[in-house]
Amino acid sequence: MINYLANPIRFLKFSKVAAPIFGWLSLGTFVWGLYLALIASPPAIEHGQSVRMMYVHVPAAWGAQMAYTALTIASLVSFIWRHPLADSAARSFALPGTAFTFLALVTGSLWGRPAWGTWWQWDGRMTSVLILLFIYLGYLAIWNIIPERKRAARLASILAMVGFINIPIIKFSVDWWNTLHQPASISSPGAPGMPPEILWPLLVMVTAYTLLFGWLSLRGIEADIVKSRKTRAESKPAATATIETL
Amino acid sequence: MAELFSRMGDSTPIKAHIEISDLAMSRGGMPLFAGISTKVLNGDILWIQGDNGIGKTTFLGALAGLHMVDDGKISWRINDHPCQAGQITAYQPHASYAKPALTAREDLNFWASLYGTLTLAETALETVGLSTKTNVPTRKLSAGQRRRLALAKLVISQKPIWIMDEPAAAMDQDGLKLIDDLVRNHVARGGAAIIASHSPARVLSQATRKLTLRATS
Amino acid sequence: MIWSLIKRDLILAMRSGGTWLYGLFFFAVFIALCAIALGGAFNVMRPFAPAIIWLAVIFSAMLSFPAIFQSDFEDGNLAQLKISGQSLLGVCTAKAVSFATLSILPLILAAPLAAILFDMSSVSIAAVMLSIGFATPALAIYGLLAGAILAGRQGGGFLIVLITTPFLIPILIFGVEATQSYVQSGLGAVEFRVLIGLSLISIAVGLPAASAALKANLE
Repeated sequence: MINYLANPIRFLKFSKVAAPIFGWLSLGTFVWGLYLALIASPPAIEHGQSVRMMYVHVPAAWGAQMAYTALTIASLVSFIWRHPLADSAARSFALPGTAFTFLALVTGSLWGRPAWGTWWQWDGRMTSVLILLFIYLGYLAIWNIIPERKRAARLASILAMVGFINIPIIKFSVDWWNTLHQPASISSPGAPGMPPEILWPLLVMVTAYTLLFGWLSLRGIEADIVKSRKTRAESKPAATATIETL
Repeated sequence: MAELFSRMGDSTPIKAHIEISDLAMSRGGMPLFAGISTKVLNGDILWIQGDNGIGKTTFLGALAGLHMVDDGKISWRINDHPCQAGQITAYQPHASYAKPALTAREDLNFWASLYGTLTLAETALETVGLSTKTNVPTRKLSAGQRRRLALAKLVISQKPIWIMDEPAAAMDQDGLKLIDDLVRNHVARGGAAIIASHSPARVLSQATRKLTLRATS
Repeated sequence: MIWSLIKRDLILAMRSGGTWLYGLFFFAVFIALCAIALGGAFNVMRPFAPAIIWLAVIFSAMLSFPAIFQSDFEDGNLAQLKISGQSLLGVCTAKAVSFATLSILPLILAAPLAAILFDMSSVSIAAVMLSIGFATPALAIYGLLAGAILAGRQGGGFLIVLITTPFLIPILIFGVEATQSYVQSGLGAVEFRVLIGLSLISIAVGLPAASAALKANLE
């Protein structure tokens, strides 16, 4: 499957079919999920109506981490096999990932206002997400500052992989640094103690974000392939050499 | 000169050659050249010619193992076994890579210590005509003197294939003769040289082959 | 080879007209600015002193990162090192050692002076010096990684700060915590073990990554 899709032309064909499916499914799931989250589900006992922010926040945080994992896998493939499609994929995962991270920070802050009484708390999770945003920005900056595509891909993949190894270290240090954070049941859907009427909308929203990520990435890869083909087609013919024996 | 080459021992350099097949390269995403195939064997002098910007430097860098190629293949071989580019080639780039704050001797000795040829360094400095400048920081050397220092590095590398990018630039008559003599001695010992040059030093008239890069119209 | 390169870099630094000391000057200026901003009262500043010294070290190191490979990259020495068959891992190791010697060691030695400016106890001074010392390999290697990634790019200064920050945060956290735990538990404090762990991870992961990045920039 992966071997088959590794050819850019075949990938474009596949994507022409798959991207709209992801897009429409994502839209449908979002409508369903938001209905469950905002209308059907009950307000939480201690958080009140503000708990509904969770249905936007937790999936965004999940999306941010999933995107980085996908980015690392693509980087690994790009680094080992130097495959241009993996470069395109890694680059296309980064933008939605950054957006999810940013969304997680904003919604976390909005949710924190009623819960904590302040827009921001230096708790373990918020701090980790903030650092993840820095990692994403650094990654995108590498693509931005290095004009040669192959070199940018290689350097970005190195940074992505080392960054991935660094993520658990950051989590560990930030948790160490601030042991006063929210109880874990909020961030882990499916943990015991999460009632099904909260869990269900959450799972639907997570699915919707994942599908959205799939759609955005596929569109990103398509655009990237088309762009790199265009630059290749525009370039002038190369010089040739003649060799004379003197 | 004679002393330098006799100090290097009589062992003919290992049988080394570079094989280039259907090489294509680009710079900054723009294709430079394509379809170059040739071989550089012991005793060869290959003269590279072409207009500015045609890709001579990129071609030489690739032969020295500095660049990835777009298409085709360069293979470096010792006694017909594949090897790393650095094992058989030494590269003299167009710009000087002497450290301005080091003296000529320190700069040469640094490379000599990497190549394991510290015993050759002093003679090499004499041979290239820098014996009075050994304790002068390289930033105080003239452009031509820095080129001589680069020639000394080429010699002490003890590598069989020399790759030289415009070695004649900024050289006086003496300097041109120096390049001639060094290359002739080197090739006589079984070495090879690949030289990009606009102004042929006399040695280039002995070049076995000339490779000209031309833009396709 | 590693030793030749270290020796060469040290000689070059000594002949650079004192540019290797700029990091130290920055360190002093940063500490003075913090003291002025905090109002200068010892009882206010003392609790923040280890954190301020650590920040001064981190920022000073960050400002030195871009220079690690810059001149050797631009004048072609790195390319020559690569094609002369030297291992880039060896080059990175040598660079890490010379960076630690030229840019971090002076800061460790200057830390007691900074501590006097904050009226810190001698125990705290020892703690600050030790914690920086244990973190030195990690500080040097992550700087090396960012320097290798951005070798040859103009204006990489701000970017190098952005790239290295995620790697330096754990070091900063445990560095500052270690100085506080040292007062009670001495070198046995868990934080010191974590700092050593961070340095070992940086050697295992950051050093090969830096040499891979250098290779990518040289091909």
